[in-house]
Amino acid sequence: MFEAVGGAILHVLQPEVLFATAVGTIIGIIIGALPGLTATMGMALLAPFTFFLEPVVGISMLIGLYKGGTFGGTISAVMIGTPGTASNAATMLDGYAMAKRGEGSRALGCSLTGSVIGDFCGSICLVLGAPLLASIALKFGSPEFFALTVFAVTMVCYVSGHSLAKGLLAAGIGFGFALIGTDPIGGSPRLTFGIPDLSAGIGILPLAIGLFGFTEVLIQLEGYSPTVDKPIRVMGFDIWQIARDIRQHLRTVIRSSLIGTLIGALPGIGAETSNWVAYGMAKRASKRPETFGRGNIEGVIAPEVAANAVCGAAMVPMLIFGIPGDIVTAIMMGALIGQGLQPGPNLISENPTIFYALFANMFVSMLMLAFFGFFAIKLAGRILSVPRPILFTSVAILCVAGTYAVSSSLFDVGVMMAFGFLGYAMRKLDIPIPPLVLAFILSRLIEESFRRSLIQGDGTLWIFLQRPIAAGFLALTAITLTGLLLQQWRAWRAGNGSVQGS
Amino acid sequence: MTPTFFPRVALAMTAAFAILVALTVFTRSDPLPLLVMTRTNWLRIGTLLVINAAYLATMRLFGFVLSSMVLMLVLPLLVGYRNMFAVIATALALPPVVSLIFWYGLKVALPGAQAFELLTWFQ
Repeated sequence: MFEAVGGAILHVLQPEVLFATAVGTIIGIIIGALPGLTATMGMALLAPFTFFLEPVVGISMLIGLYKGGTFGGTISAVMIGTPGTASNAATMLDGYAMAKRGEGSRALGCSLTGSVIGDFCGSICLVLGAPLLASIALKFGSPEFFALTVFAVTMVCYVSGHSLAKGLLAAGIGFGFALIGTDPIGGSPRLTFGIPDLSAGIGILPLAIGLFGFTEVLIQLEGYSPTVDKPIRVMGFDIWQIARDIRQHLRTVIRSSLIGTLIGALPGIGAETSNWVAYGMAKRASKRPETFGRGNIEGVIAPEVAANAVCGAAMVPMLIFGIPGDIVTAIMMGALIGQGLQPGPNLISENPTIFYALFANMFVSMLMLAFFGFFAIKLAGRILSVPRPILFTSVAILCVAGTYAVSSSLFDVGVMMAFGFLGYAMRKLDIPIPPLVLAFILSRLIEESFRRSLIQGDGTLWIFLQRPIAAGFLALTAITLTGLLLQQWRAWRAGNGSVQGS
Repeated sequence: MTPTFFPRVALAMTAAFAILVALTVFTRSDPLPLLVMTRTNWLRIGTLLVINAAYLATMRLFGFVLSSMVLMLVLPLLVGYRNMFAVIATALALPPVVSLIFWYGLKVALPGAQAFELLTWFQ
């Protein structure tokens, strides 16, 4: 093991890996800072490039992008009052209010420091938790994997939007698309409609690039109006003031780190949830809760720490169980598979150097985030002044080029565009997209583990109840579903039959 | 268990929840984003659909660089962006740069122009 760890550290400190991490972090910060461009979209666009790089180099670039993108959204949240990504939505409430009264630099400085601290906690969770969980995961059989994946999909449906029915509808669509191709047990073609290009199924990258990249292009171009959000000017920041702020709110920092780490480690939930939970908890614990939303620095620190603590923790279920912690790690998992690496309990024993290199890179990218984040704050005004029509037309071109690069197939480009329009329709119908992508990714695991479990249990469903871990996860799924249905029923009755839609 | 079992489950799940969602549309307190779209929005998305279909169809004939240049000229103008210098400069610069990055950096050839190959065939 020590040999593998040593090899991994040397690997990560090689110039090409450091360069790739730096490039990923810079691209991530810029993408996150631009409203409409998200870390998820950046991940989908950059993933095809990594196929042509060494696994550690490629994945290091994606880790840098993940962290940079999660922080980058703060810049636009604070300076123009529009969160660059959903994981920075809570930061906007107090960050923008601070910027309006001339404290934008303090808000951004605290947010960067909080992001780095949160990131460190998440990475520690990954380093300590992953090997421990891997030993448990090795005991998992098909029934356990089936129950865990069903639980993960349910959790995504639970947190995506206000309606469970919409989440499950999206998951159903995702399952349907994933089943196109070849039957995993028998090997016979399925749902190909006689189209030879569909015999290998639909790739995760055309789907992800379409749903997260091309959809955003369509949404932005369709709704564009020439009025421009003018960024608030940010002056240089006082490092000592930021240090004082962080020290003064150390409890909030620790609490938010724990919230982010716990939420990230749960399969299916990510930074979009953790930042609101941390914000709510900070407000509840505060002696002056009435100042939240009016420019309280705690309201900036809490969500930022929690959002970045998710980054490391969300990789635990992805690397150990092959079940993504959130939608960004779902695309990262697609990139790992594209590199010939299968996330799951055997990853650590089959590819120890790559596994530990990922760990080491978590800390390298954390330092990169601190370094480049500092400059990004200074250059924020320029990043935000790129005209949107030019920006999103360029993104459209990159979506096409990135998709084509994966398989040199114009059919895949057409599939990507079709998913772009499907994503657009879903956004207009207020149906969440993340459950579709997660169900698509987990579909094969669900089907295979279910069918293998039935073979193992001589065709009966009792096998799921005879295995304690599987039964536990199925019970958790049932409790989550029942609780949510009751909650929605009560909300529906309280609102005299009206449902909040968005 | 037959290979059609899971497709049936997925279809049943999609159909059941689609019906449920359709029924709750009428009980929403705020309007569905689709229902608040103006005529301009519908026109824009329709045009975007046609332009992107044409872009995909012509890519095989005119190649990635040429067809992307045209797309980058048309889309910003379609949505009302009028800084012609920025539009033309980006349209002329970005597609060749992307193509060169893919070729020299990743050894991937983006679609070339078959129309020019046809011309050389006629000569």
